[in-house]
Amino acid sequence: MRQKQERFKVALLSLLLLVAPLFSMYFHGRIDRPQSVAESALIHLTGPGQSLMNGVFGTFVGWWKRYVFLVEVAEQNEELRQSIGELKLMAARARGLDEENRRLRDMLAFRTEHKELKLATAQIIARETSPYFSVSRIRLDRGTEDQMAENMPVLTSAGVVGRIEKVAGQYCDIMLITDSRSRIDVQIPGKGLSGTLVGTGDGLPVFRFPFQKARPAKGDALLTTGHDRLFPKGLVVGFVLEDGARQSGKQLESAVEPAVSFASLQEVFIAVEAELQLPTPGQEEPQ
Amino acid sequence: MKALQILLYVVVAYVLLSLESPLLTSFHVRMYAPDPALAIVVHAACSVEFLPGVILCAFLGLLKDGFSAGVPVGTHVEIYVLVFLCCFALTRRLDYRNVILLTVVTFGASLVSSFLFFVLSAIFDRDFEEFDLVFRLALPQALITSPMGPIVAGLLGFIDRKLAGSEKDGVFR
Repeated sequence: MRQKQERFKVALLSLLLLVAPLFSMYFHGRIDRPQSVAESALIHLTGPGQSLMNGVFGTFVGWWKRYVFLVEVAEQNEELRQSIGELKLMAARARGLDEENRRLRDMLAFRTEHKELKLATAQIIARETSPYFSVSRIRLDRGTEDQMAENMPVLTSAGVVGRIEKVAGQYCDIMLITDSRSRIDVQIPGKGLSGTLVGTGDGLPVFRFPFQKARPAKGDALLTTGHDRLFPKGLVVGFVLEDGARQSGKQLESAVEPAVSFASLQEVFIAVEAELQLPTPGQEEPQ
Repeated sequence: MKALQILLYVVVAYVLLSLESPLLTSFHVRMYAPDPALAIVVHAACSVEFLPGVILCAFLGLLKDGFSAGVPVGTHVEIYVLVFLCCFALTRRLDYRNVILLTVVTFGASLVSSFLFFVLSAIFDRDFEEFDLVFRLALPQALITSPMGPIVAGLLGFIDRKLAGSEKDGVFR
């Protein structure tokens, strides 16, 4: 009898646990009803556990990803490195284009400014550097086939580079104004100082001029006179580096910074035909 | 001992269900969540007596309802109690306390659970519209939940042995 009662009790409780959820579902499945006590209780019951586990697991995952599982980071790092490399390359190309654009603009302006000169453009194909890392010789992609000849002036928009020394086939070598054999007649306009720009080899060229009261000052521009019948008159050759002058034999001399940076040259002009405007006696600067 | 056993089972379910969400979110597999509470129900059918088992399943169902947002309270209570009854009936004919059978039974229990979820939602949940989703996810869900069967059984078996103070009566034969 007691066993029967026990089984009845179990069956009743089981039935209750099967039927009660149906009522609960019926009640909670309705639309637009307020939140029930059971729902609030369940949220209060499960919320702290989820929050705690989320925190613990989040910390663990963060630690794992940050300090242990770094494959993803390494891949990302590699991708970023590649991107940086590509961007650097693009930036360098852009800078190069910008520089080229500026150079070509300057050259165009120079050509417009000096209509008296018949100019041919040439690309530098080789540079010879001295042990002191300064450029001592330049080779251009123009030669006898392009009607190039010895002693033709080589220029840029910034100033005089030198003159053609040797021509062969499609190439020509340039004697720079820094070459120890180079001599150019120059003057400092407004000061009546005329003399010769003399190359010194590896060092800076010097402006050599006869004794007189006037002295060059730092930054004075040296322009060609045209007296040497090689370079047209009025082209910038360089700038005086320091105030005053030192004695050199029977003359005075000052160091000169060339107007052209030979190390960064890309394109140059060759004055194929130049109307050498020799100064008339009345035009000459007073000594 | 039974009350403590049920309490510990509920605590284990609570911890596993709490862990489930951050774990699955971290591995970007939230759609395929295993059901550890169902694995506990399957294990309980062969290790807990009938009435305590039904009560345990009711508690587990309530917990699951608490962790499953948007489900009418009572849905998982009903499902787990029914699954428990099926598994309990099955234990009369088949002792499934080994890894392979536990996996198979958990797989079947998961399919039954999905089907019950579909039926109960269709009847009681007026907001429920994702019927096709339940059917599409039933099989993957069962495949993911089935390995939980032996894992959870191993864990709970360990607890049972500790409670019994003996390692002789293990869950796996």
